[in-house]
Amino acid sequence: MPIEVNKHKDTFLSEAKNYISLMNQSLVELEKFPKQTQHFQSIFRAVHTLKSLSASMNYHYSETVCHAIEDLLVLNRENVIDYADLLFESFDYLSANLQLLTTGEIEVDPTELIHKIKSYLQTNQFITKNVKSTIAKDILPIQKIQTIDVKIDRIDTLVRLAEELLIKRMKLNVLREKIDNAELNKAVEKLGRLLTELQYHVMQLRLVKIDFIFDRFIRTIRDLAKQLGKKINLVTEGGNIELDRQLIDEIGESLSHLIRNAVDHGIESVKDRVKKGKTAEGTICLRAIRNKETVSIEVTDDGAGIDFVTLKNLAIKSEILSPEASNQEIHDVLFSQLSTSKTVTPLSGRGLGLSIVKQKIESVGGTIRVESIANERTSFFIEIPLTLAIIQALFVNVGSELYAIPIDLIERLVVVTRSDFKKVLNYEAILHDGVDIPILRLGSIFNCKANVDYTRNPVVIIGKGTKRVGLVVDTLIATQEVVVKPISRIIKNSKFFSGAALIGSGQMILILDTSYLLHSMSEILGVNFYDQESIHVNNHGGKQNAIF
Amino acid sequence: MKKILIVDDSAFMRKLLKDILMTDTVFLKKHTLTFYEASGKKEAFQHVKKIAFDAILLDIVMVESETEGIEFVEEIRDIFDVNKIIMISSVSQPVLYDKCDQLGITRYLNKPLVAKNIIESVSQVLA
Repeated sequence: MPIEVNKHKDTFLSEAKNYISLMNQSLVELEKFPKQTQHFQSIFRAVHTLKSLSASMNYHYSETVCHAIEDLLVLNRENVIDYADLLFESFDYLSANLQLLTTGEIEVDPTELIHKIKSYLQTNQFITKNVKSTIAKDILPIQKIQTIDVKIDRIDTLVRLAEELLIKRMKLNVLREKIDNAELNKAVEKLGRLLTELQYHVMQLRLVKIDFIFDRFIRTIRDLAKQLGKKINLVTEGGNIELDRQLIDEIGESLSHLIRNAVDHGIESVKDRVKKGKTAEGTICLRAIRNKETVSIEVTDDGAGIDFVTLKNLAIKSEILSPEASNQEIHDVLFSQLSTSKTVTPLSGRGLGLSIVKQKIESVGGTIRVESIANERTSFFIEIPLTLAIIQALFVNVGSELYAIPIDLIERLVVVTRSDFKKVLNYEAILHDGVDIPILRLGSIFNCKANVDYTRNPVVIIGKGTKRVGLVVDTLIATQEVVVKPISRIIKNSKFFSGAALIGSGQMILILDTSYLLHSMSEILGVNFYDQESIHVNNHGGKQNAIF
Repeated sequence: MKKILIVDDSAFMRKLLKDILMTDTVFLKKHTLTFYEASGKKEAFQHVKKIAFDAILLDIVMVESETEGIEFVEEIRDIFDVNKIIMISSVSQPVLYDKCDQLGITRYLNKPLVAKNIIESVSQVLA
């Protein structure tokens, strides 16, 4: 099994740099005080460690040079001063090499240097010609600054400006279509690509190590545990994973909630743990794992577990669950309002506020689930998308308003005539490819006067397979990349919208929550669609033009 | 949950070791792992006093001395089973091996690390 070392490159580079500077410092000291052997020791150890680090990273030239330096040091411990220049030259080689690796280039062949060291080892004579290495001289003397601290608000300003540019690009795109000039098209396209890249790199600036919140919990847990007379150890994994600062702010509170629950209700008292044959000290584990487009965070405690049986019984008694409820349904109850109610809390011992946690995680597009084994452990798994900022959306007109529909759930766009609509029992549908697709008239949902040409009425079909819904709109405008902004709670409560987007004119428009519309059709219209046999009329007339 | 202590003065090495153990799926199916880290013998000693480890991965040459790992074993051998220790070093000095033998250590790994060997040694210790 090959070891995937490249992801550790940054750690290697920063550590290697420290070792090389330690070698240089120690050798300078040793030149001044040749009798102080600790300086020799520290050079030796640094070289030795760097050798194995380089080998692990497959940087074989650095490894070879370190090895040669070790040989030199072993050969003559007493008179290092005699070959100090050769050592310095070797350190310079290592340092220059590191510089190259930092910028993504490959190592320089050290044959000449190795040859020089070998000759010295054989003859104990320093080769005086070519004393200075040519590669090191130019790159080395000034250590370039690699990282700087930047205030958050400056970065936020950059993010805002980048977003503004995206919005301006939309305006430019509209103009481009109006003018339709080949040269202009090319220039705008190029600008567009550059802007996307700029946006990406600006977002990278806001990344923060997840340790930033993990570290906060060390103290929280210590204090809470002490207060409750429990013994708890916190273990963290993956704290180096980077997340957008805003996302970290959003989930920090939820994690804190889960951890408080784990300390309070999960981990048992020392007495109980010993009675159960567990270690006196409980363990809470926080683990972050980076996936391709999401990050998973796991909060596990090796405590009492969740009493799902009691929870189920209570839910049945409260007529929330049927006795045949599946495990999934029982788990859902844990995150529902029920578990926050007074009747359940003392018994479930955990639920307080889990519905809030779930809401919070979902508001950033994430999911949360739970696994628990009685008297063994409880694990919460949170999965959140890494970026939320930009999506592709279709702009449509309904009444006098403009709305955005995220394209990920759009199946196709069709244009129908008045005769294509039909009543199926107590809801409306259109016939598309021989199948009835229920429709929602956005105009009537949003209570605005439709402004439709009934001979060419556009319908946006969302969903797939048997679960599809047609959204009837007035006109289709265009698809564009939009920057999603969170919306105020008042609008959020209406559930039809998942966010808002700013467009070229500076107007704020609402983004439809297609997932909600799709899954809550029945709720919205008070009809149960998918259990009914639709009546298929294959020769039902009307022309439809698929335009997408 | 198996508790593993990694003692190495290089954060890079500690990361790499964890990474190797955390990416072998066959191995992970058998064991749930929790890692503890120490960058030297003092820190490691604090851990060993408190936690019953199932395995210790131990570097020999560290910041404090060229034989820090061995000194650490000498300090803990009364309270910790040396069979659960895996020595890691790139030093191939016969003197050091002899010293390890005297202390009852049977498992060595040489740097650069080979993933297969690490998994094998740790599996044996955890078995």
